[in-house]
Order: sequence, then structure tokens, then C-alpha cells
Amino acid sequence: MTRALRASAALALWAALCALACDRPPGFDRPLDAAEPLVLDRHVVWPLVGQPALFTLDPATMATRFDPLPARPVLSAVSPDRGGLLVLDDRPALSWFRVDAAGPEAVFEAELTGRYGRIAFAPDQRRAVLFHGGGSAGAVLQNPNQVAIVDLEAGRVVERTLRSFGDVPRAIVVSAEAAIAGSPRQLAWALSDRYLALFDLAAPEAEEVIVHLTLAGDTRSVAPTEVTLAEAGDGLAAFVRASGADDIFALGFTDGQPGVVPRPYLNQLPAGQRPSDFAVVEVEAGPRVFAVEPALPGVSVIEPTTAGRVAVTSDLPVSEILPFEAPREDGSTGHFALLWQTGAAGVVFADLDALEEHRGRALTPLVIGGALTHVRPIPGRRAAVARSGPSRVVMLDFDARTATPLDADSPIQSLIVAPEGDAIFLHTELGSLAALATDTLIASTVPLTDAPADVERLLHVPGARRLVAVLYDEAHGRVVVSPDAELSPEALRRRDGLFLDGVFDR
Amino acid sequence: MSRSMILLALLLAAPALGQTPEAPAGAQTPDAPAEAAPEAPAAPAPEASAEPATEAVETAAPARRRGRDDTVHIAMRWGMRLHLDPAFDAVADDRNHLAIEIAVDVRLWHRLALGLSFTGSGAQGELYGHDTAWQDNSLFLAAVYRHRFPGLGLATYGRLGPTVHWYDLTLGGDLGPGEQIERDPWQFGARAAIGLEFWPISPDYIRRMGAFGFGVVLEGYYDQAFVGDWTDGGVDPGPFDPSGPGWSLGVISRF
Amino acid sequence: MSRRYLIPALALALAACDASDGDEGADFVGDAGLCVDDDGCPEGAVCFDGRCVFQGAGGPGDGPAEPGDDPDPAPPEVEEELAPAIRPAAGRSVVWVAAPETDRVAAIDGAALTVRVIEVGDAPTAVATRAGTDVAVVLCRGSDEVIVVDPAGDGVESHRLPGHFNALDVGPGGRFAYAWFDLGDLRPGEDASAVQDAVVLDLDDGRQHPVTIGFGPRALRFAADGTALFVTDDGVSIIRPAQLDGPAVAPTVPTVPDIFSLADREVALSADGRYAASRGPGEAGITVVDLFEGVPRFVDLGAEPTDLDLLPPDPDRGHRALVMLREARRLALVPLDGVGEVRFVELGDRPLGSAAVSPTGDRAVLYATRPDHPPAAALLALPGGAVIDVPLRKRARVGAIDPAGGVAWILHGPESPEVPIEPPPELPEDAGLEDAALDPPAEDAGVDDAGVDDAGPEDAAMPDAGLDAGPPAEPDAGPPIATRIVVDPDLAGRHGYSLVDLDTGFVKLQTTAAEPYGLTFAPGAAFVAFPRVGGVGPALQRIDLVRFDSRSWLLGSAPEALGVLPAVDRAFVTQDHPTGRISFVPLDADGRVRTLTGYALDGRIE
Repeated sequence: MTRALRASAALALWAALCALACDRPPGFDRPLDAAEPLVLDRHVVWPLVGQPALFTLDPATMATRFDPLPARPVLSAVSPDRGGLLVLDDRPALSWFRVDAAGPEAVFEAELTGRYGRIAFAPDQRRAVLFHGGGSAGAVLQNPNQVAIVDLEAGRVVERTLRSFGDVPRAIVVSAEAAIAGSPRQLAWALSDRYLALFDLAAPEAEEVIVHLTLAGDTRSVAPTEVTLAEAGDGLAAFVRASGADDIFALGFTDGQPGVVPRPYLNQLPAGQRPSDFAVVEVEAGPRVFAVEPALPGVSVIEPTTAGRVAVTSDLPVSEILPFEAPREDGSTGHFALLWQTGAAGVVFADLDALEEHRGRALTPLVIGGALTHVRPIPGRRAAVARSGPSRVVMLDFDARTATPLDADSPIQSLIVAPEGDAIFLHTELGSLAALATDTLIASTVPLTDAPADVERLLHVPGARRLVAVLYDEAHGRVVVSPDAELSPEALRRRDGLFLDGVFDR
Repeated sequence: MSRSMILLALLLAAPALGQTPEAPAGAQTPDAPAEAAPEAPAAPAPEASAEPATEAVETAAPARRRGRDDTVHIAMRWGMRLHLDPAFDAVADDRNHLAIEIAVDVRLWHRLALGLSFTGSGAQGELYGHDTAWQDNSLFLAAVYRHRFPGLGLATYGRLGPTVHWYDLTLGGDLGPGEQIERDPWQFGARAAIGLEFWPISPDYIRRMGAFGFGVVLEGYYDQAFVGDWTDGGVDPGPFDPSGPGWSLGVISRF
Repeated sequence: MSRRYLIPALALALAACDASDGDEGADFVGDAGLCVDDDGCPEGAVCFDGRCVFQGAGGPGDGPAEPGDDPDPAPPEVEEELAPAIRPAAGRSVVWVAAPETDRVAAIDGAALTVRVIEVGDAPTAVATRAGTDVAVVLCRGSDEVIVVDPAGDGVESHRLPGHFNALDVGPGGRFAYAWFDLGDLRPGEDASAVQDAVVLDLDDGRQHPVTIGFGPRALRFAADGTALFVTDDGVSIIRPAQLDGPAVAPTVPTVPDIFSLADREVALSADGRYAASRGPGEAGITVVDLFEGVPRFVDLGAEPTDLDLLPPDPDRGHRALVMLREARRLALVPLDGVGEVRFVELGDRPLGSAAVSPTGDRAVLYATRPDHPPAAALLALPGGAVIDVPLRKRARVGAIDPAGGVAWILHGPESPEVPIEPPPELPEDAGLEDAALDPPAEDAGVDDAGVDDAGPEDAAMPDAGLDAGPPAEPDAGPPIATRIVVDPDLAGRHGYSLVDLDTGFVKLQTTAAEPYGLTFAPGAAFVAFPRVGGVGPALQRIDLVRFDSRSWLLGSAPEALGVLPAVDRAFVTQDHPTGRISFVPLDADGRVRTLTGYALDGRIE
């Protein structure tokens, strides 16, 4: 009897212990809430906001990783080299990850005092700027002029408030590190309506310099939209284009001390009427600003030192410029540009070296037929891909000045250009995936899904040489992974419930 | 939970009891084990009870032996299963879940019996906001060793043997054509169990019961699964070992 | 003659160096002459300063026939150059522009095209530079202070003035700055209590010397030794700044004996600040004052002067004034120091009323500005006194001579081609003049014909027989005598200017689409600016004074003021632009215009 009693008592005790010890990890009770996937060089990362965690997929090996995060991620951004991931969570704090072959590895974390909605990386991804950008929320009291300058290498964050003159920074542009006014600096420009704030990421505590673009009593809305740093005359100058202004503002730097943001001097370069785009190119005759004027339509060639302007009219409407270099017959490198406008019937090739002298003769129009949209350059090649109509892709060859149309069987949902420029990927409304080699214009295709409307987005992971089609999913993630060359149904890998991969290990 | 289950078991077992073959008219009275008991008080209990039971059976109708355990035990038990693998947290809130077993064992020789039982268990839960379901149906072929304590109306037993499981795991949501994460149709396992039976209605106490008995059984067991990966079309939730101990409480009848 | 055009001319005259060609002294003898007198020249040529210059068959004196004396003696006002609201000041390599709306001044480096904006007091309106430096002296009209700014340094030196002034000048030595009140620049509601006050600010030690001057100063001139001469309605107030010590009253020398006729006078001051000459309406002569003596002396010239210029001092003849006497058809050379006689040079029939004197003192351009006269101009060689005609194609409005003394620049304006250029035909002796006046002469008959009737004059005279006129006009009066110079109707309506070579009398007419203004001389060149006219944009033009050609650069906006930065070989032009625009061109013709726009915005970089 005692034995039985002892046995049952042991059983009861053990059952009680089990009941106490069996605490389910709280993450399982929360939804996944996968945010938009981020494409890194070899991985695709989904921030799982509900968990919080990062879910990483290596499409080459189909290996997955689940990395819990310390707090709910609010904003994530990929660095320009696609090797780093900056995550802002709602503590508020930021975490910086470097992504290697295994997946994201946390480098450092830093507490923040403000909540930010946008991230601007420096081109060399050594620094980043966080700003409000109208996107963040969640605090009782917001300071929309607060920015955080993050030194990603040193792991340091400096938060400051920029002086405001009636607006908040709408965008921040970070230029490459360069020697300006005597010492190496990395300038960042905070663009607001009617003024811009210039500060130096290399000296984050130095006071910013505010450059007003209008006089005090002027109430026009002149919002800077584009900033380019280029060599002009003596030293680097920044060129600013603003909507609502007829001029391109050239900001030159004379001298400055290290640790202090240099004060620029301003020269308004007349650029015709409301230029919509511009490029600064060093042509044979020297640096020139090429401003596209839709009102002409045409392009103005402006010499930054003398502010002399030559207006050249084009036959086709233009509003964007895409500069490129190509060899000439005599072997030298010439500077050219593609001028185009969304909805125009053609594009214009411009010989930038000769534009100032020969004017209209340096422009060659190319009528494509059909309204043109989405002209995108193909890197590494003197070519561009454009869309003309819902199911037509046009390959523009700059050397031969030709336009080759390619028709798809159904409207094209998305189009991606590989970063090497060797292929173009697209998927159509009928659910087919196509990979087009840009050199040979030979395409390989594969039907992706039975239900074509399922494809939400197409991603290209260049380091893994894979295409990842993300399908609509309400629960646990659905993808179809394909190699990005020689598409075939056998090579497709489909995962339904992708985020459950390894769920038993969490 | 247990009380309602026991009540339900009793209600369910009532027709079963009614359908069990009536003990022959000359079924063993409780006097036989009572007579046998004083005769051999210190003798090993099973043997002591076995002989008079055998004799009782022999003196009875030729089909039955009075006062002896019959070959057939039928039990129905309800209990809780615990999964030791923390991976089960992904499936349900609690690693314990209900398991119901129906077991039959037939005595072959002395105290050894051969048992066959069917266990059904399941759990439900929520994972990432979607319903999950876990089903584990298994067949257990056991070698049963039973030792009776006739005077106490108790018996203990042990069971050991292989099991065959049919697992069914659904992690919820719209997973597409292959919704359920399954394994191969069936998997082997093994189970070891130790139990304690209490026979209040049995020849130990009621002479005229004959071999028939009705009692309560409490069992603890350990179920070992031999499973590998759980994959479906490439999604690998990871290793999950549904092994674990369990206990159950139920009713048992013998005849 | 207009004041505004006088000022640059006068400034040039006073700033001219003293060196002049040494003349032997005797008349009609040139230095390296091809001729000695008119006899030494072929027929039709005049010996002009030693050279024979062809003048035509008539020779001098046969000028165009006069339609009659015009009772109005004074030439019409010549249009002034546009005086911009804010005049820039040129240093050596930096142009200073005041931006009153932002309380800042901008220092624009002409070579590097950089801008440095410095905050000064309220509403800076007048900027001047210290001679030979880039240091600017700024008058802040809003806060009544003078601020000295150095483009290199960071500090600004502020000197608060004892009163409200609106004009500022800096003396030639660069040491003294003068703040005074220009009634011509009076704004409504402005404090005008300092109308007879001036403040002399010693820029070296910062001391201020308030000086009381005559009423209504119109201009401030400087003598070569730094003496400041205020031209006021009371006369010339003389300030010797180095001798100032605290508040003072400047000795004011009246320029006419009649103190009530001081307004509306043209006053000319000699470069050394010794003499002043003036003319006034209705006076048949000029009044000369020795400023040291202070007693005005009237020199009777027999006719009302139409222009007055001072010649650079001649070592032999001393200070002289050149006075144009149009009605008397001659000019007078009046010695200012009272030594010597007044010398008259006859101009024949030339109705020349204005003059521009070369800073070297050996040439003067004489021209007629009246709109109803045909274009006429002549060159006067000094000291010889020879006059040759210069064939102007359009009427002159104003003239200026470049500092080197080689070229005269004459501004023309659009004029109506209906100037009666054909004089009435000569009437026979016996035709009663009164009858001819009642009876329209045959010329009118020609007008009535309108080309339908080609009836001769005698036929046309028939319908007039109803009038009791005298005997009909003599037929065959002959075609009207054409004048020597005809204004081409196509050219008449255009703007333009002429360049006159002062040695040979060659004239080049350059027509322009718009009126040139802002004439600024530079070594070997002159710069003018043009506003936008029709489809032709605003432009800056460089006129080569040697080759007589020109080169234009298009500007982005209407030009306002021109200047020269000799230290960096650039000329600049400020333009009308909401945020400020200035363009620089090289002094020689090679090179492009460099424009800096938005320097007012540079003041808003903070």
C-alpha cells in the first residue's frame, strides 16, 4: 500500500513540477507580423514585428535563421552595400547588424531618445543619419527636427536638434566623404522647404549651417529636392535643385576649420524655367551643369563658374537626364546622356561634350512608339531598359541608338535589373517569371505559381544568384525561390509556411 | 477533470459491464478466495491466490475457473501526456495534453499477458495567431506482467513493448497545398508502463463475482518515439521528439 | 547741360593727371606737323593741330543754312544715366554692394567670384571704399552710423553719427570720410535736419568733426590735396580735413556776387581746388572765383554761355575755362586766375552749344544738342584753336572723352525724322517777304500735289491767284539746297553712340537696339550697358577705343551700375535681380562673363 501511495505521490509531484516548468515561450502567443522583406547581398530578411525577431532566408541553400530582437522593430533599412542592416526598435534604440554568410550578426546597440521614421545612409555605409521624415509615431511629444548621427564603425550615436525655420527636414542626403575646405568631411544636407541645413557627419556636434534659398519676405515654396556634390572650378561644390525655383543653387566652399561646418557661399545659376532634373558632368570643356527644362523642352548647359547658360531645345519632351560614358570612334571616352520623360513617345540621346557648341545637332531623338515609363539604366552597360505599355519592355542601346521592344504575354507586374547589369528579371500577371540576359536578349521563363495573383513581389538576391518571389500570405510566409539564370520548373523551390522553418527550435 | 471523467467512464462502462459474459451460475463466491487466504497466509500472493483460484475455476463450470484472474482485461484510461521536448511549446500552450487509451490484454501464461491498446491523444493551441492541432494515435503491443495481491484487491502490472504512432501536426494558417506538417504515415516507438489496479468489485471481495472484476487503474508510463525530422515540402520546423511520460487513470474490468 | 552726365565728365576732368603735351605756346604751330597753317594744306583741308584734315569744298565757315534763330537759348535736358538705387563701390579686387533689406553688405571678390556677407547697421545705403584698398565705408541710413568693414578681417568698426545723413563719400587719400545730406535724395518723412551739416570722420583714429556747410549741398568734390569742396546753394564750402579739430564752420565762398542767384547754376571746380567758375541763366558771361580770395569776379563774354568746362591747368596758360557761346557762334577760353586775356575762337556758323574737354587738355569735342538742329560736332585743338568738323550722323546728346584723351564717346538718341532738314528755297530779291509769308511759297504747292499733278510751280501758283499777293513767285527757283549732313530716316529712330578719334576726326557710328548707359572708361576700352529691348536681352558692351569695335555679353537681368576693378583686370555690372546679381568681364576682350547671382541670399546663410 505504501508503495502504491508513494508511487502515486511521486507521479502527482512530478506532474505538478511539469506543469510549473512548462512555460511556453511568449513569442508563440504573438503573431508573426512579418514586415516587408529586405534584400541583402545573399539573404532576404523579414523583420517579424510581432515577435520581435529577424527571419533570415538564404535562398541559395534555403537555410533559415530566426534571431530574436530585444524589442519590437519599427524601422529597418539595408545599407547601400547590402551588407548591413540597421534596425530601429521601439525602446527606442537602434541595432546595427552586419550580415555575413551565416546571417545577421549584431554589431552594436545604442539607446536613442527620439523616435525616427527615416534613415539615410552615407554612401560608404560608415555613418548614417536618422530623422523624423514625417514617418515616425508613437511618442507623446515629437521633435521632428531631431536627427541622430550614427557612426556605424565606432558605434556612437549623437542626437541633436537642427535649427528650424518653419519646416522640418523632409529628406536628408549624405554625400561621400571628401576633402572640403581643407579637411576631410562628410557633409549631410537636410532639405526643408525654403532652406537647407548643412552638417558634417565627421564632426557631429558642430553646429549646422543653414542656407536659405529665398529672401526673408519671400513666401514662395522653394523646396530643395536634389543635392549633388561635384567638382566645379576650384574645389567641390554642391548643386541644389529646388522645386519652385528657376535656378540651380551652387554652394561653394572657400575655407574652414576642421571640426566646424564650413560656411558655403551661394551662386544661383539660372537654369531656365523650373528645371526638373540635372546632372553635373565634367566634359571636355570643363565641369558643366546640365539642367533639363520641361518647359522648353530641352536642356540648359550651364557653366558653374561664369553662370553662362546655353539653352538647347529638343524635339521630344524631356524631364529626366541619365548621364553615361561611352567610347567614341577615336577611342576617347565621350560623355553622353539619355533624356526622357515619362509618357513621352521617345528618348533623346545627347552628346554632352558637343552640346554647348553644336546645340541641337548634339541631340538625337529616338522615337520608340508608345508612352514611355520607367527608364532605368543597366549598370555596367551603355544601355537602359524602359517600359512602354503594360506588357512591353524596351531595351535601349546607347551605342547603336536603337530601341528593341520585347513583348510579354501579359502585363508585367514588376521588373528588376540585376546589379551587375547582366540580366533583367520580370514577372507577369499570368504568373510567369522571366530572366532576360541583357547582352543576348535571350529570355528563360518558368511559370511561378498556379494562382498568379498570389505573387506579391519579386526580389533578386544577387549574391545568392536567386530570385525570390514572395507570395501573398496571411499566416506564415510563402515564397518561391528560383535560380536567376536558366529558369526551369525543376529548379523552383516553394516554401509554404516559410516562417515556421525551425519553429521547434525557438 | 478527473471526477467527471471517472463518472463518464462509469457511465460508459455500465453497458460494458452489462455485456460482459455473465459469470456462470456456479460462479465463484467470494468465499473461495477467503477460504484460500487463511489457508496459505504467507505464501507468495499470486501463487497462493492462483491455486485456489485455479481450483475454484476447476470446481466451477468447465469454461471458467473460479477465483482466478481471467485472461482478459479491458481497460479504458484517461490521462495526461507530457512532452519533454520544448519544441512542443510551438504546438500548444501546454505540454501536457489529454490522452485516452483503450487497452485489452490477454493472459498467456502465468502472469504474463499480451496486451494491445489504442491510445488517442491530441492537443490544440495557437501558434502566431493561428490554430494548431496535434494528434497522436498509437497502437501499443505490450507484454504485460501482472502481479496480484488478492487479499488487498490490488494488482500491479508492468507493460513494455513497441508502439506504432500516427502523428498529425497542423500548424495552422493557409499553408497552401501541403497544409499539414506530417511525418511518414506511421512511426515506431516504444512504451513502458507501470500501473496499479484496485479491484473493489472482484472475487477478492465478492465471492460470487467469480473471475469478473471491475476496478480502477492508475498507470504511469513513458512513451518513447523514434522520430526524425518533420518536414513538408521543404519547410522544416525542426526536430520534435514527442516522447514523454504520462499518467492515466481509468477503469478496468477483467473476466 | 545735365548735371548727371557732367559728373563723370567732371570727375574725369578733375582727376586727370596734370601732364599735358608741352606746347610751344605760339598759335597754329603743331609739334610734328604736316602743316603750319591752313595754307600749308590742300584745298578743302584745315590745318588741325599740325595735320591737314579734309573738311570739304566749302571750307570752314560754310555751315548749314539756318532756318532762323531759336529763341530758346538753353539746350534741352539730356537724359541722365539711370542712377541705381544702390550703387556698388569698387575696391581693388572686391566689389561692395549694400543690401539694405538684410542689413548687410556683400563683398564680392571679382577674381575668385566668392561672396562674403557682413552684417552692418540698419539699412546700409551708401558704400564707398578707401582709396587703394578693399576696405569699405558704409553709411547705415537706418541707424545713423558709419561702419568700416574689412573683407579680410572679421571686425566691423562702428561710428555713430550725430545726425541723420544720406550721402557718404571718401576722400582721395582714403583717410577721411564725409557724411552729408543730399536734398535730392530726400525720402518722404525722412529726417532732414542735417541739411547744412556734414560730418568729417577720420578713419584712422575714429574722430568725428561736425562741420557746418552751405545750404543744400549738391555735390562733393575733392581737390588733389584732399581738400573737400561742397557745391552748395550758398557757394562752395571748403573743408581742409587735416586741419579740423572738433566742430567747425566751413568757409563758404560764393560763386556769384548776387547771393540770390545761386540756384540753378552750373559750377565747375578746378582740380587743385583753387578756382571755381559758374554760369547761370540769363548771364552773358561766367563768374570766376578764386577760392582762396573768395571774391567772385564776373567775366563778360557777350553772350549767354551754354556750357562751361574747366581745362586742365596748363603750365603756360594756367587755369582756363572753356565756355561755349552758342548764340554768338564762338567759344571763349577764359583764364581763371585773371592773368591774360579772354580768347575767343570763332565757330563760324556751327550752332555748337556743348563741349567735352579731354583730360589731357589738348582736345575738346564741341557738339550741338538741340533737337531741331541737324547733327553737328567739331573738334577743337588746344592750344592752337583750330576747329574741324566732325561728321556726326545723328544728333549728339552728351559727350565724354576717355581719360587717355584719344577718343570721344558721344551718345545719340532716337529722334523724329521729321526734323525739317530742307531749308526753304532762296527767294528772289523782289518777292515781298511779307507776301511770301502770307502766300505759301511754291514749296507748299509741291506738297499739295501729292504726286498726282506734276504741274510746275507756276501752275500751282495759279489757284492762289485769288489772293492779292504780289507778282507770282519766280519760277525755276531750283531744287532746295540740301544740307551737308542728312539724317537717314532709318537711322533716325535708333539709339546709338559715336566714337570720334580726336586726332583725325574720324567718326564711327554704332547703332544699338537700346539706349546705352552707365558709360565707364577703362584702359583702352569703354563699357556701356543696355537694358532689354524687345527680343534683345540686356547686355554689357565693351567698346575698344583703339580698334573702334565692340563686343557684347548677354546679361541675365537688366543692368544697374557699372564699375571697374583695375587690380584684377575686370569690369563689373550689377543687375536687377531679387536676390542680387553681378557679372564680371575681363578688361580685355578675351574671356567670358562670370556671373554671381544670389549674393543677397548669402546674407541669409547662418
